[in-house]
Amino acid sequence: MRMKKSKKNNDIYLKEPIDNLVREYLKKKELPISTKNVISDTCKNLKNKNNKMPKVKKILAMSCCLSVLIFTIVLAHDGKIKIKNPFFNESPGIKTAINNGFIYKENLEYVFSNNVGIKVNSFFMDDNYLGIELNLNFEDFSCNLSDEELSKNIEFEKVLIYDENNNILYYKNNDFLNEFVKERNIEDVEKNTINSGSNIFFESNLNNRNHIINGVYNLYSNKFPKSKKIFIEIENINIEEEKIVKGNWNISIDVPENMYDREIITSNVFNNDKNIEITKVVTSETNTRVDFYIKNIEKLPENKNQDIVEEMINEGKTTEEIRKKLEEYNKGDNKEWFEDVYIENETGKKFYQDFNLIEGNTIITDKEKKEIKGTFTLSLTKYDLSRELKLHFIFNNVNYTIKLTN
Amino acid sequence: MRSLESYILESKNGNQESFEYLINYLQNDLYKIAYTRLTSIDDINEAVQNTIIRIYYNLKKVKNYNYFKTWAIKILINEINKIYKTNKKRDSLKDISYYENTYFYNDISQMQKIENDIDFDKVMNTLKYDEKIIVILKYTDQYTFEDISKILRLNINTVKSKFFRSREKLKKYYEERNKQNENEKIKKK
Repeated sequence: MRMKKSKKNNDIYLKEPIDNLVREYLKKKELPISTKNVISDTCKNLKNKNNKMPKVKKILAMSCCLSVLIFTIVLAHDGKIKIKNPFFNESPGIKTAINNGFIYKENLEYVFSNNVGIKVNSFFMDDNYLGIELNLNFEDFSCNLSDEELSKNIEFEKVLIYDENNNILYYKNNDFLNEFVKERNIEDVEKNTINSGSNIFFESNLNNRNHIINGVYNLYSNKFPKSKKIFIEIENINIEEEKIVKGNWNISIDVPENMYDREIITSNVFNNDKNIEITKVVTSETNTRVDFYIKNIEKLPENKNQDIVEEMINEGKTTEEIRKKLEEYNKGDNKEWFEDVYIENETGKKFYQDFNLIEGNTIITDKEKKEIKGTFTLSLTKYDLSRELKLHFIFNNVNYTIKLTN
Repeated sequence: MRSLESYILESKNGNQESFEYLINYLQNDLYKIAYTRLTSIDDINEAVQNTIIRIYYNLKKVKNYNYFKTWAIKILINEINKIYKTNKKRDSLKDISYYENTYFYNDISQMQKIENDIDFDKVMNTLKYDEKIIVILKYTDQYTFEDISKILRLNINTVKSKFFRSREKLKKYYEERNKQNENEKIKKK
């Protein structure tokens, strides 16, 4: 039988009486009341973050912990070389910001509890990215594990990171959050909670076996506040299944002025193409985000780009390695939506997509409307910004160069 | 009308109402697909519940919103397979109480419908699991063969041939049944 690819054309062949009968039969398969109740109860439990979950949910909670642990181990394993910049897998944009002094690096004292010390070693924060590097000092703690084993097994039981306005930037453990909310009389928790994604790992310094473990918090969000003070509260450290260091570590950081007084720079766009709209170009200390909207697309190419990027990020590959892989991928018969995406400044330096900031590189397609919208995050920072810029990309084999000014 | 994408984005940002909308949008399909392999209503409910929880905790991973439903169904199929493996030895006969939950009327026409459905269930049960799920995905939500091949991780041509083979089986069953009915009518006359 001849088959056509599109959804509509497939259905041409499904108009016989049997097709209507099957559809009718399936239509009648209404949701039983008990399933409706289960769905509604599950949603309610998730809303209240109910700890008294039925068995199935407890299994899930355990598997979540397990996946966090596995992720920690994988990253710790990859980090055998002495760490230079632990933030966001050495994202080029973040590296530029740090090299230009956009980093808090004070020689703070350790806060000790139960013979384990914790201090902040370095820190940075802008609208989208917040990185905290902690040092955990186990010198005075009696433990038979090597530094490497320690780093693979460590996990904080409860963590809360917030600012002077009670904006909750990150939390681990609902009870810990609830206590905080109650103490501070916070009425609207949702309003005070900044939605952030996280990538957290611990690693040892193999060049110097001194029982100092690094803990790195890479948090990302759509909009971090302009906080002047950051508070980190940690309760209990799980080392192995039954080995728990009971203790409380409360740390505060005075955020440097260049971080809380930050401003993003919005570029003007000069573009005559009716089908391509560059809706926003903003540059911060760590990156440039380009929001775009493309309509009337004749044919949407197949895309495996995202799968490749995600897989390589998980393998700990750098932006440069990912870019090369994508270039190779595009040389064959495979086509991805966008190729050769970069911004060029007046000195001729090109700043490519920063794949280590994966959440900032998104593409949403609407096959029916033949539209694409999304965001590129490129490694151009304020430190390399010039009055005129060129945004370049190839879409459906067409080269686009769009002028930007500041 | 708001797009599905806006509900996904809001749910990712913790908006509970949007999340409930998404689940509401998925619930009929979740149930119908769970029903293809699981025979007990408790197992179906468990699979649906586990799927909702997994969607909730993993929603942030969804990057391409066009594939949200495909992604959710993949999660469901994993949950169904887990439960199925655990309960493999369980009696595969369908619990009649399910029908009591579904229909509230006791009049003859409704009872006739139930009987027809049980008949149809029988013929559906002659299909293999993957055939059944392909038929349901194709007819309930009119997925493309390409989408189904992605969900089930099967070659697109395999999906097509399984679908048309299953459809032939269903067609044959109905034709035979119609013939039988005709014969009975003639006999009565």
